[in-house]
Amino acid sequence: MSRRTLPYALLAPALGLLVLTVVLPTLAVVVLALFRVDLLQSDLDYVGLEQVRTAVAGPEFRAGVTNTVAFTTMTVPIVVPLGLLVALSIDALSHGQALWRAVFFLPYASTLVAMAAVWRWMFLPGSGIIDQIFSDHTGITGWLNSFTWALPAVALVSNWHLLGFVVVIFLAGMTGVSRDLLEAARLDGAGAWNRFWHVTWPALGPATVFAVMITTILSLRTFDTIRVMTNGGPANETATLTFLLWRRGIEFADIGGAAVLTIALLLLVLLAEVGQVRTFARRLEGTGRR
Amino acid sequence: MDRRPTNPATTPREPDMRPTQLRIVALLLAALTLAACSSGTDEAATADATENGSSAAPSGETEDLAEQRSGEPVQVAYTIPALFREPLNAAVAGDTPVDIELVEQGEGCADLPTRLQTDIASGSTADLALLCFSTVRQFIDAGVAQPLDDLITDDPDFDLDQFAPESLEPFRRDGQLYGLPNALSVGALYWNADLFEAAGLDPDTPPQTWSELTEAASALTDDGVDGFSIALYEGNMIFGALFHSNGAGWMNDAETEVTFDDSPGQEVVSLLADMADAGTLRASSDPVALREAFARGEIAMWADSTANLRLIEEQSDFDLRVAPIPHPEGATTVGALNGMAFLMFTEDESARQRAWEAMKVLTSPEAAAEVATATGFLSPNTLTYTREDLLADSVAADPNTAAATRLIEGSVPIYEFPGSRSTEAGTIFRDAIVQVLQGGQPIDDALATAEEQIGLLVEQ
Repeated sequence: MSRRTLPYALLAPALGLLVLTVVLPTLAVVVLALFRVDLLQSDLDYVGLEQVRTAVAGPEFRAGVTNTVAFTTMTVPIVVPLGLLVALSIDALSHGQALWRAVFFLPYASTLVAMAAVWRWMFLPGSGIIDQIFSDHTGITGWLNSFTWALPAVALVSNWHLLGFVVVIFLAGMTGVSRDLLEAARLDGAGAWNRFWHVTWPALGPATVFAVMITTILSLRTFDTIRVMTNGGPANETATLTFLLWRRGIEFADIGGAAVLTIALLLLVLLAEVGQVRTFARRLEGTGRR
Repeated sequence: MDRRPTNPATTPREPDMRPTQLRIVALLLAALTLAACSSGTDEAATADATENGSSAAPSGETEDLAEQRSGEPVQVAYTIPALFREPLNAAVAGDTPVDIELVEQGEGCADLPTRLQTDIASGSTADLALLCFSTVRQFIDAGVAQPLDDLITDDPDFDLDQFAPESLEPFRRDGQLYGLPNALSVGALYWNADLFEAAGLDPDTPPQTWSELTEAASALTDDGVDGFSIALYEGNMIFGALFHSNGAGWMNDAETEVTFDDSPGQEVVSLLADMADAGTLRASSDPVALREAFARGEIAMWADSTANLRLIEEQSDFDLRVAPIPHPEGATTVGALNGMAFLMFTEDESARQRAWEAMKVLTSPEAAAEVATATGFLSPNTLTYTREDLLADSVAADPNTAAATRLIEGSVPIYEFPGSRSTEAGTIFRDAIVQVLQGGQPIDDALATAEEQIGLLVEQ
């Protein structure tokens, strides 16, 4: 085999798998979005873009996109700074770093479906511990049945779940922070804030980009917590695109409609990631390489 | 599928023309998708049968019985295993005329229809399936459920009159019968007689009319206690009872027009919306949370399925009573029936005969008694409650179960919208009610929007 063809031959298995597991399913979704499928009648009708137009104009699609964006807005901007704060606190400890790292990572390591069921009980009106503690002070009861509070309640659980993951990302990033630089800054009389802002934060650029991108993707794809805690309710108020495409494809057996929602989710993820790369990711990664 | 002849030389390309190549690709993709979603009935059946031993020939069986049992076992798909695994296995544990393999599919009412749809599309359907009443219609309308009339006529040992006539109604279409029930539930009003007494109401007299219900709910509502409660979920029997009792319907008789936004339907929603506004109604999409709250004494009157009677009796420590759902003044209560029934899917003649034998076993008074005892559902087989070796004594000793069984008479089946999108239509209706009762949306807007959306689905 020539030196020219060898790299292609070595890449071929990985590329083949990529095509089989990513490219072809994506193309399949695009094709299925053009058909109306009736499983009981084994009927497949080509409807072209009509299905896309109907779905995009419908209230379900609007609710799905709005809730997905709102849910992501309630998680990423909260969990990333909070994760950074916790990571800095753990990093500053002289003893017990491993213990606290494990404590914060436990929620992420646990089974989300089981944890979501526990949170659901905690939010139950009357008997739930959260309801009992906060209803007197806030007047809010029946969080998961509330048109106003159901989505924030689910987002709270998502933040709790993701926090440990973000903490670990930042702690890993902090291993790249030069201790010599920090010590030099301290000797030069730099305070805690200046040491963070001028030494630690620039070095955390790549970790921050990774944390933001991964938590964004995970939030846009959230399903388990919503399925267990609210089942999309009340009246689709917590129904994100992932939940809706599952319900449409599996529960309603509307494969074409689910394919349309899948494409919408794919585009939303692409849009979010491209937006992040163009606005801050390159700059932050650049600061990390200084 | 519609195939219109076209001449490419003279006819401009129509927007809805099917591109053949694209169709072939899509069919292949759909088949792949279905195969991925499909339950793998055969493997699941084998695994399940191996695990529970339901298909194993009992020791000491006679040669005649063994001969009858030769051939493929009858596959029976069922759902809600938490409730039905034990009684169904008990029902097939004895000497049955055919081998029966029980196949668990999913956890709830909505799961099995989805699996069946994919199984039907991939050609590997179970012979029989135990489905919730609220999901059977799509299979009958689509022509995939098999009629049972010839099997019943040819079987001199079988008496259809053993079933409560109301329980057979969901399976009758165009003069033919497509299913047999083995579990029933009816919408009922549960009330906490202790709270009635504490509020100065007669604990022996539940509200019978809508105005009595409103007054009682108002009197019972107190700090920490909600007067009345209703769960909002698809296929809700309480809405069925309230609608039927007020002469309202979801569609007109010919099922050409959605009608729940008409005046009788609006009156039902208004009744509940007024109570919600007055703070005397707790409405929730979470039926389990409501049941637990009622059991803790936080709800005085709770409208839900009689299938919950057993659980409530176990969980509560107050004086629990059961009554019909209140009706409008000058009318009578028309209950809404739900339950579980077997539909037959196999088309092969000899397999149908074997499936029929299995169906008789699984809907027998003995099997229905097993189900009623284990699950809290009522038996559709009237012999279950008249035979002393079955449940005659236990019903006589339990006034609440006796009251629940009396609710069956005159009830009508829970409504399922026509077509393959019936589940989605039910969800849209449920969401409209949630928007009114929990979201404060005007009744006219919510019902009109839902009516329009469901109309489009039915049209499709």
